[in-house]
Amino acid sequence: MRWLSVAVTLSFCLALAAWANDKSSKQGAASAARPVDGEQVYKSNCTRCHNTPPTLTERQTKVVVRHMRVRANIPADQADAALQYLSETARRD
Amino acid sequence: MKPRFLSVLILLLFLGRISTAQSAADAPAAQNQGTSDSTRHFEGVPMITGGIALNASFEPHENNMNPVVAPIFLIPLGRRALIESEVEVESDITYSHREYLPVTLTKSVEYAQLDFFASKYLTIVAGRYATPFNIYKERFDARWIRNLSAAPLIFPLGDSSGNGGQLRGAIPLSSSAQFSYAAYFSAQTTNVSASSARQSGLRTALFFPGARIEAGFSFNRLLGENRFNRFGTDFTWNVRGLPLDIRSEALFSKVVGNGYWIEGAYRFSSSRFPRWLRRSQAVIRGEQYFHPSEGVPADFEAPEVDTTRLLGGWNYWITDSVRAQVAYGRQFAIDNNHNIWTVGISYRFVK
Repeated sequence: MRWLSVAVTLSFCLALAAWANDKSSKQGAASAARPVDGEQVYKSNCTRCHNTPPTLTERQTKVVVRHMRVRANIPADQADAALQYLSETARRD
Repeated sequence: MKPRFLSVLILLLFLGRISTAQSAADAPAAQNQGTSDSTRHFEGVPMITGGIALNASFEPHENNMNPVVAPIFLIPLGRRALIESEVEVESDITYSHREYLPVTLTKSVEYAQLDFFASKYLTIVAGRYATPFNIYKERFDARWIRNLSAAPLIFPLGDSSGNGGQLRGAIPLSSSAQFSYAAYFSAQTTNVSASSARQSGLRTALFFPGARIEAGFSFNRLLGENRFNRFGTDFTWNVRGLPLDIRSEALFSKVVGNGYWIEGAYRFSSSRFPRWLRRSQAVIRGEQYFHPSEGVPADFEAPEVDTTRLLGGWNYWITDSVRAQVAYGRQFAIDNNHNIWTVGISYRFVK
């Protein structure tokens, strides 16, 4: 039970930190926001595990990026930037 | 696969289609409100992706053929949720000591989870999930991703799926560093295709996007009949300016043993190589497993003695989605040094 308590406590702290960070980043968004380079995010996160994915439609790309946001632990703004980058090469179906 | 599970999947695909149609209808309204967040205009579509592979291995007195089909179902639900599921159907055809062993067919649900994006940096996962212990299971296990068709020796000792909940995400610490985390709890389930142990644990990692280096630490505590800890570390590095990937993992446990593997893969993608060679990749892996003195519990698949293995392989992408693999290796163990040959082909699909 000791380890379970430690795991639950750590989970709670991490969730709290994530929530607080999200709040603070929203408050300071206007001054601190910097555009995230979608191509850089794509190269740093996607191609480090697998080769270039096949060309998808724009709507498929959105779902795959959402899937990879969970699998590869990508923050929302970076996932959005990668989506923007990939959407430029997506098929317009 | 159970008909009930198939029915649920079909129902979810249907619900996903309705939900995405609703999102598409909402999108113009959101645009009129001047919102810029791309999630407000989400118009994703349910899809099926995944991989199919056929691998064969040849060892003294035993040849093995291993076809695998692993479809992944992705169903977006509105602006903040996703249902994702991977089902793996795998057969094992073994010819050992001049006779065929009974052919086995294993069906398992790797994950069937609901992801709720609570904030930029927090995702709440509920359902059945691939346990985030070390990095191989979540990132490199797919047959069309793994560099060598043979999984590392220590992989089965940390490989599991859990039924429960998980909190995960990533928090940028600075422009050059990112902290990622995943903490989970799983209940015990005895279903044949979706079993899980009562366990909890976490994985944390530091990721340096500029250098493309990630170093992770994992902890897992089994809380059922067998109660013990497992610790893991993982390291991946995509060398900048060189098409070289380095991947490594280690596992430490008093009960299931200790071990590590390190793998390097070089892609001959540079224009100085002949055109036919540019679709090739050379891979080398070294690994060791140290067996615990008291023996490993029956639930875990591990070598019965200390084992060292060296593997070298060649991958060739016939197309962007079809890859052929061949590898040769040698395994060193007390009284059982032998060669291993593997060949395989994998196909990644998206529908």
